[in-house]
Amino acid sequence: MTVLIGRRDEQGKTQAGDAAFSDGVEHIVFTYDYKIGTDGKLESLVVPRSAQKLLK
Amino acid sequence: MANQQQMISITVARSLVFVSVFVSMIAFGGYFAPPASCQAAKKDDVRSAPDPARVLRQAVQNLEQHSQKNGYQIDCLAKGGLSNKGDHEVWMHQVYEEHSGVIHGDLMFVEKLQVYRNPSKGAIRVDENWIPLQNSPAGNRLDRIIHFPSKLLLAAVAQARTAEWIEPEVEIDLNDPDYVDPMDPLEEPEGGTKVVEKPDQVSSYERIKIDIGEKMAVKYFNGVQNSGLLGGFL
Repeated sequence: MTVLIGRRDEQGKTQAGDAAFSDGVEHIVFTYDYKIGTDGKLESLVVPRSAQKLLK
Repeated sequence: MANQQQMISITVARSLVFVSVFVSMIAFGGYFAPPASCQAAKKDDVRSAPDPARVLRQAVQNLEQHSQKNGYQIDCLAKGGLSNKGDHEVWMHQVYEEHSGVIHGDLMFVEKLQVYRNPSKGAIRVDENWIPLQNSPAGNRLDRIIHFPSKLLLAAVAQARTAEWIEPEVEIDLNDPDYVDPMDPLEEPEGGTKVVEKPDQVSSYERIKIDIGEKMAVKYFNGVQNSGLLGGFL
């Protein structure tokens, strides 16, 4: 997952559309990569009793 | 990580006037793999292309069923910061969180941090005590940043405005002896000026782009903000 957030410039404006994320325009970027492995059957999870109470 | 593996990459873009979310799947033959009818569809025949939203919804359902029955492993890396490049290369990193865990139905376990969580609550072991996940700085970061993949994808499907198939990313093998750096004037292939041709774009049904509303983008950005990792810097 990549999250792109436009920032306001010195005039307090955020550029419209893709321009907010273009060369020379400062913006915020977060990336998330999830890898999922579905091989085989995993052992069932056994939750300690003290932890169980916090999940309810 | 198991051999049978899928990768999910999602892009959420937000500005004041434009919001879009791209959901992409690269399948390696597992539960995210498109059904056989998708793979059999002719590459250049748009009319035979399977409905991407329907395929994604079905893949998520398959993953959920697999999760309930067998469970699955996840590795997640979240990172980010400031960029001033069109390719979004980050020059000032503020976030770097890497976690591995297992998911069984609605339960996630992260062994390294000793965390159990479901989609709404969580517990983390600190010393010998179990405490609410958000009461620990490390637990709070995990809770805000790492998501249940199927929940994340279901939200994307539910809030999708448009969905379309896109080409998979082509990785360039720099160690390939035939690779020629197009920007290197000194590099010249043997036997004259022959330039290695780029591989043809191959149509496939492995990667989906979904545009969704700003609501989801704001939700995930707020998650990062509330994780405490930014410290009011950005």
